[in-house]
Amino acid sequence: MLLELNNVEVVYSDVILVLKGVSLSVEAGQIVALLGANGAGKTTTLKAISGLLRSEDGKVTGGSIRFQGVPIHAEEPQNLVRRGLVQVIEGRRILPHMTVEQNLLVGGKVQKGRVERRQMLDKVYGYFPKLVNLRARVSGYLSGGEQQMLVIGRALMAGPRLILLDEPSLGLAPMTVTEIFELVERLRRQEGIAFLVVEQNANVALAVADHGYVMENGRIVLYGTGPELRENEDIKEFYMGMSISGHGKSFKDVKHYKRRKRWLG
Amino acid sequence: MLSLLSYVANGALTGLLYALIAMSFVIIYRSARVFNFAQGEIVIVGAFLVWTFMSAFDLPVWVSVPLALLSSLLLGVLIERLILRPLVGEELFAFVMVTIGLLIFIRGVVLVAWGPEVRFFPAVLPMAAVKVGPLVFDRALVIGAAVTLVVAAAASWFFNRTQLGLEMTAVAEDHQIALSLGISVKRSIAVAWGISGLLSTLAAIIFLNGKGMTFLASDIGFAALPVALLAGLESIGGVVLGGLIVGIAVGLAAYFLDPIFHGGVAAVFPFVIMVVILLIRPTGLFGWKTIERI
Amino acid sequence: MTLPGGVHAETYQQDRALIRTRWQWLWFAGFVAVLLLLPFIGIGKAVGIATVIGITLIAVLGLQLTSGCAGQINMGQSAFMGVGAYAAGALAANLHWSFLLTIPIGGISAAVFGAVFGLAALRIKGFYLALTTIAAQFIFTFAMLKLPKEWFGQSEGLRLDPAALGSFAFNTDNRIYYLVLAVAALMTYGAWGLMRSRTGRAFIAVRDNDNAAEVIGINVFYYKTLAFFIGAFYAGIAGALWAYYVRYVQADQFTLWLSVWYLGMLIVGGMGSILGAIIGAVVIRLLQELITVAGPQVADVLPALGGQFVFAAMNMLLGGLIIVFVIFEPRGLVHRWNIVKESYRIWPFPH
Repeated sequence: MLLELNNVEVVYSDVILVLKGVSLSVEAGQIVALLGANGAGKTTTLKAISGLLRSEDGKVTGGSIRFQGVPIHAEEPQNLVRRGLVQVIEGRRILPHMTVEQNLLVGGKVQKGRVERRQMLDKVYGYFPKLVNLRARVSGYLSGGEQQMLVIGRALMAGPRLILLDEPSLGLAPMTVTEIFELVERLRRQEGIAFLVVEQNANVALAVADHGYVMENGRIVLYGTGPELRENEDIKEFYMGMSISGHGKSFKDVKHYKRRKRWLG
Repeated sequence: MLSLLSYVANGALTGLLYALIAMSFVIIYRSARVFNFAQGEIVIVGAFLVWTFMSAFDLPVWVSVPLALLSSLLLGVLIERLILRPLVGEELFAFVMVTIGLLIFIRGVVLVAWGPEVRFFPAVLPMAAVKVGPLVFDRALVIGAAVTLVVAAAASWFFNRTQLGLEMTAVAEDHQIALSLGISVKRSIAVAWGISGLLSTLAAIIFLNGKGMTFLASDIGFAALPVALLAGLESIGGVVLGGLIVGIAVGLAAYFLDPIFHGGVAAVFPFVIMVVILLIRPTGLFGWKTIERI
Repeated sequence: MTLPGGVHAETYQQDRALIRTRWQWLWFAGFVAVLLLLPFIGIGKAVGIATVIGITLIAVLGLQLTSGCAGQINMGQSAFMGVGAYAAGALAANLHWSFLLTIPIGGISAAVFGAVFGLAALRIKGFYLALTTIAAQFIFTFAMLKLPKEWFGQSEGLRLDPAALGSFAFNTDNRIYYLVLAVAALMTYGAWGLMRSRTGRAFIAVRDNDNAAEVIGINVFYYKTLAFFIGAFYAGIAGALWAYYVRYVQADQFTLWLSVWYLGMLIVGGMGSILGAIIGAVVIRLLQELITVAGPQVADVLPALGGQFVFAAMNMLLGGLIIVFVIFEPRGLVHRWNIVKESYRIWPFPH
């Protein structure tokens, strides 16, 4: 097992319990989707794994997180990156005053030396040919889609085994989103990189995911393979905006949102 | 006419010296996003260290100067470790106050350690004046200008071309991203404080070469302030230009306005230029423009 | 504010009242009595020290409003104070105006000078703003030393006659003390009222997030300017009182260091609270006096340090205090005080 979370609890500022026992696992080379509404705790889950939680006054207070079998809940982020676990923070956080190539090189921090870093850079340019022409451009002026490719490329520079990808579709055109998920799929196939993807856009995410988890209120409430979840009526209704009977969603359906959620029992 | 030229040229040289000190502000700001109000005091500690090694311990120049540079580097790292690190993630006001507290504290320590008397700073650099045609310059200032240019070029190369420099720039941009990419933010900030301490002592040697000094010489920190702000707190190259602009403007102001005001213009004029430029460009001429989100 | 058990507000007026219980009345009355009787019961320099504390308090209250409440870091408070001192001093010394006019005019002049920096604060933010206010200091010093001698006396400064009402002159320490006490009480009350008003809440909104404040309909431009205007007004009043107290005004009395000391008082006392400003001003001033008294004696024991010891010790003490407070108690002494008060009230229970 590449990544394994067992009953993880997270507390912010010593008082706010955000994750109330999350368990999930990712195997090498898998794409796993983590779905759920805003505030369900998806991003917190990713940050608990990558160790970024501590810079926001959050703490893992219970359960265990294992990466390649080793407990990592108290590990510094830099050591995790070195071991092949990189998070792509949500919101296309580029380094806006640096050029595209400088962004990528910074991502290659954990590479052994200059030569390895250059090789990695060429590989990334291979996956993102668009970035080659933009290499000297200050990244703050790129378009949204280009910036999203840049942050994924930057994570790739570390040569990771697992990428934690937070909301890659946020604020992007459907075409661009499809393009990005195709790339994720290609990276998995050709590089064997596993992905744990947090998404609001369940449809695109489940199209490539091997399996997925649905979170609600700091807990995992549903688990299934990609196709299973795609066929699940609740998922269809709440994340894809389709009604069971096929016609458009009415106000009444939305009103009964909570009650109809079967998994809440 | 000749004296006007001399005012301008000397102004430019002084401006470049200020740029060297401004650079020690900028290097810290670029990584820690902290403006160190105590920089002037660090300059003066560096100066007293050189004095102690050379005049009090009678060590040769080639031992004293590297020793002082090394000590000030360690001082920078120490300050970061003890005082700034506990505050990571705090609000702006905490950093303003803690570096101001540091400024006052170091001033007290300097007084206790070295006393209020005037000391003569050893002539580390040659004293003979430089003559270029009809113009006469202080040799230390000429050497200082060259040092500033070399240091600026080196720093620019370091921050834009080397891996460590790029990583430090990334830390300057966004601490969280830097963390997520496996960069040690703590180490980057410590390195910045170290380099900055080293530059301060370098500036002290040039500034005080062969002159009398007391603890009050730390005011040079405030004199260099307009250069750093005018240039923008992130830009190394900008600081050199800012230094030249301020230096030349002050030279001109001193030439034309001093007769009217009976002196004193040089002290206030940089601040006037600074305020005017900040009103037009709030992050300085070459500073990073901030994109604010609600 | 939490209240002791059994005390409830039944009307809005009661809820807004500053003093709520009989014990609070008693404490308050006792405090006022001590202040009023200080010239009769105080020993040694007590009255003089209290006068300086009163003047300092006014300036620090102003800084609390600008920096503590509205979040605009101001390192020019001492320059603003100087403007007030010079304005009042020049009118009193050259035109022989009454202090009833010159003190408010001193306040207004400083307020106008301060408001210029408030205008700048709309565009310039963070460290850039803090550093811009330092420019106020340099511009002030230069202007006072260079403007025509008939106005401000240049390096010789200004000499004032005592403030006078008809034939009654505030020419003794005790008389000036009462004048300062009255003004300080008035200004403290004003600051308290301002903090609890619509303006005070707008200041806090601007401090916490000026963009968000703008979005919810707060005129950020107006309130930032106002914050500097009011803060500098307080400084100007303090400066004018200072001018009448020492009856001599000179640019060297108003240094950047003084501004730094004021900021230090805020940190030690507690940011954003009127009580914090009072505690900070009193505690730091008393410590300063203590060092001034004790310093020479220590210097006798350790002659190597010489007369500079007092100055050095003061710097190390204030610098050290600021650093310690920022790191370990960023909410200042007022926070400690509240904790002590609460635990006393509910003793012997821990919560």
